[in-house]
Amino acid sequence: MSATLDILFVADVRFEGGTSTALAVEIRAAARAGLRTGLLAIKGPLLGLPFPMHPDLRKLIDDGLTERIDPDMRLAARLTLIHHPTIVENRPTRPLSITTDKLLIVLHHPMYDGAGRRQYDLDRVVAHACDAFGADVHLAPVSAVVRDSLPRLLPSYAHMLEEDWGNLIELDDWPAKPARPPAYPVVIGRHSRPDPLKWPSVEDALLAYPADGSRFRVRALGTDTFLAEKYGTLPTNWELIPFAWDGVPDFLATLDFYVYFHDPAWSEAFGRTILEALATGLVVILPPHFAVLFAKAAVYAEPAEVERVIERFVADPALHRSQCEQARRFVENNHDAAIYGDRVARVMGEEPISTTSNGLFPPLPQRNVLFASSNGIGVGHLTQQLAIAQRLPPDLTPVFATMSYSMKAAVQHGYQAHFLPHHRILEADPEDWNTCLAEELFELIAHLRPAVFAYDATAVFEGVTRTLAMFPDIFKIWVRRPLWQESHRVFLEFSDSFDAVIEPGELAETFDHGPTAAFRKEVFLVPPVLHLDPAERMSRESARAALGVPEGMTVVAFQLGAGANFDLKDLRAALLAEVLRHPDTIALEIQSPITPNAAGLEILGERHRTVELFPSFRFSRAFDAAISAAGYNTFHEQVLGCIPTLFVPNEGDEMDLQANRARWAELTGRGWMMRRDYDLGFAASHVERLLDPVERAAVVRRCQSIVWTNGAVEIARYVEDHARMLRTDWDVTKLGSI
Amino acid sequence: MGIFGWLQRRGQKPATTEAEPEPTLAIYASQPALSAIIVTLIGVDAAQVDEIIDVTNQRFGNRHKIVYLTDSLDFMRFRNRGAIFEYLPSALEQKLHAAEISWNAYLAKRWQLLVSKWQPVHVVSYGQNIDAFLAAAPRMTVRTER
Repeated sequence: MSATLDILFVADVRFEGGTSTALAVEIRAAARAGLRTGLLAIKGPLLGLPFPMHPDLRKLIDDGLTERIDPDMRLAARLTLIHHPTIVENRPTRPLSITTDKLLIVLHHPMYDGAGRRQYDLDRVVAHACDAFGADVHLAPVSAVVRDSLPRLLPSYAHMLEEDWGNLIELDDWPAKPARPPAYPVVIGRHSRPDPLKWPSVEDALLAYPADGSRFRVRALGTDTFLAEKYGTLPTNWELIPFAWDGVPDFLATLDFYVYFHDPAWSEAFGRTILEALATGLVVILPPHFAVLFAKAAVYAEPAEVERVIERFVADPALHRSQCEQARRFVENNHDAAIYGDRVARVMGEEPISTTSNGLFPPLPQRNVLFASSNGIGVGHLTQQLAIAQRLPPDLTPVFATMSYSMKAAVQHGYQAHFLPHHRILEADPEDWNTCLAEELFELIAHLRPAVFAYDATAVFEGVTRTLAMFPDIFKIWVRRPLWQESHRVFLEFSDSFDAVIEPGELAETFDHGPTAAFRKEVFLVPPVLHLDPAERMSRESARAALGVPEGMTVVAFQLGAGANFDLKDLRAALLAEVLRHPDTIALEIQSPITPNAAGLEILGERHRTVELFPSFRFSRAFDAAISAAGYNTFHEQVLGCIPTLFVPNEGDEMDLQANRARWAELTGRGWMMRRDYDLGFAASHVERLLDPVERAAVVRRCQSIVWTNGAVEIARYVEDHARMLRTDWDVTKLGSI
Repeated sequence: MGIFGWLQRRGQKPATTEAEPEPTLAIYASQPALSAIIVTLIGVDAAQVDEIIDVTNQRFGNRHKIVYLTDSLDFMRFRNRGAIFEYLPSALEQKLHAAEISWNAYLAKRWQLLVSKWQPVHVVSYGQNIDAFLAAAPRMTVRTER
């Protein structure tokens, strides 16, 4: 089934700055004009780090203002707009079935930067766009700066649009600041994405942003540690605010003057942030080369002149008011999103009346997502993957390949699942096993053709990475949890085998100084991941009824694991005895689906019960307290579920640093810690405290104070977005025989 | 051998004048003394598994590694007895997920791989034999909206 669109937008939706913001305004304006649009997401070559989709663009899809387009869809568009030339500097790695009446490339960036370095190869850009969409290319520079950077002789099949494709702004989103005469100390401000090139040279910085706190306060949004690296010790009158997606209008409303100077090596094509400041009605001070873009809407000066310019406006309130009004008027006349319909009409050579909006848009093609995990003796990685899989949209089909004996859990959730036995249970040499694993995984991937491969494990096996290298077009994610032991460091070198590393958040993050801690800026960090949200649990009454707990009994849940790699037999016995010594308690020992018979649990009386529960968290409102290991899933369930817990870390060599989690809980009043080799003699006092209602209430209160959202939702959205991305981040012409 | 045991062997291999031989696709390639038997348990009642493990172990266990090929999800039944096993999705699972993969093509390839991996000296069948199981595997169906 072929779909039709008025406008197809093609963009690297991960850009975090002005390119994405400008695109979002265009999509919204097109929707307001009644045009049917679609967004084909590209993973281009500029961004190497695992950025998510820009939230403004994601919201447009969520709100139904534009259609998400899959690269395999058959489409006909009246107009196709490729936003940013670099995203087609490499050929798309897959053929497209998209035809278009007109094809534009919006050039958001000059062809050369301030240092004269070429930023993109226009010949390649034009050729690749032309080949992919089968149409001549119209180049649409966003400003005169970009237009002037282009060659006079254009590549074959390229034509220059006569008008600039200037940035637009939704004026309602940028209310004019009430005019108020500035007085010393004045607030100078600026905002930009966190990039050192967006800041002036060391010599100019203190001229443009003076350190004299008695006269100037400097407020900058979009800062990071790079500023101190660039400038050394920063003046105390500089107020630095980290980059944020929202809240910019409020930020601008706090300023008196907007002063923007950048590094000489940077070439600003337009300056969307400047436009936002002008729309707010601020006096904007810029280096003279911006005059060609903003004319009399801004004031132009060298850095050394900034103080004098400000002085002039402070001394003359009428001049100040007039400049503020001029700024706002300039945006109203030239960059109001309301002009978008006319612009599109001029490009199309016709009225922008939708010819396609009747009828339903075809559904996205169904795609597989392959979740692969290790974890022979546990359920943790598989559980985490279930948390993500269950939050995927119905047009993505999760399939599991796991080394976990608890694979049944995935099947019981309705998913296709495959078992890949670990070499340890096969008594195989690891090299032999890796060779076999590579072949087995290759066949599975070749037959499933997943759009995304999501790997969840600490250990990365060569059999996995060898296979992944054979499928360069599949988007590969490694979800790795924090708190690694030093012995795990060797696995870091496998990070490059994946397109993205995602790290689920850790409540005990400040206790993590392990191998992954230094790489946090290179991964996509999400809040702690839970399989079930605490609110999804059964009510206390239902859970206690289901577990057959009599009224008035205090239930202590035991989840110490099977002890396969860390023997807790003695400690378990001591704790059970202490709990059962209290006459009103029930010790509820929870077994996972893969607890071996050999664990041979001795039952210590009527009030000692064992039960197989998965996921046990669903029943946890029945518990009054718990004694538990401190693995990632259980730990975060206990704390975020506000279950007063005595944590007994599994300190086996292969495990994560569970003791650090338990220590964090104890030191922040959100649980207690008991260690096998240090505390066995103190079981009585530990249990005494655990059963004290006052102590438990204090822990519950502390746990309730944690503000949390489920990271599984963010990972699922990340998977969803990347499952539909067309890749141009690598050069398919160099693929060779793979 | 621990989970990280194989790591010691990673890294640069010493240069040799001869080309490196291709790795052999066999799970015991570097332990040639070991031989394997595949015992298929397809569509076998779970209650019979223990007995089958006992019988096959008595008969072959002294001379061969026994690999049980099961379509059951009750993995702990094998692990509790220390048995090595591989898994193939049951006919029901294949039917449920017929729109996601071509079982017919995949399982044929999967069986070839398992034979290469284990290089069994015998294949012993309980329940449905492997040929019938593979022949019954469905082709991929057209996906329908969910």
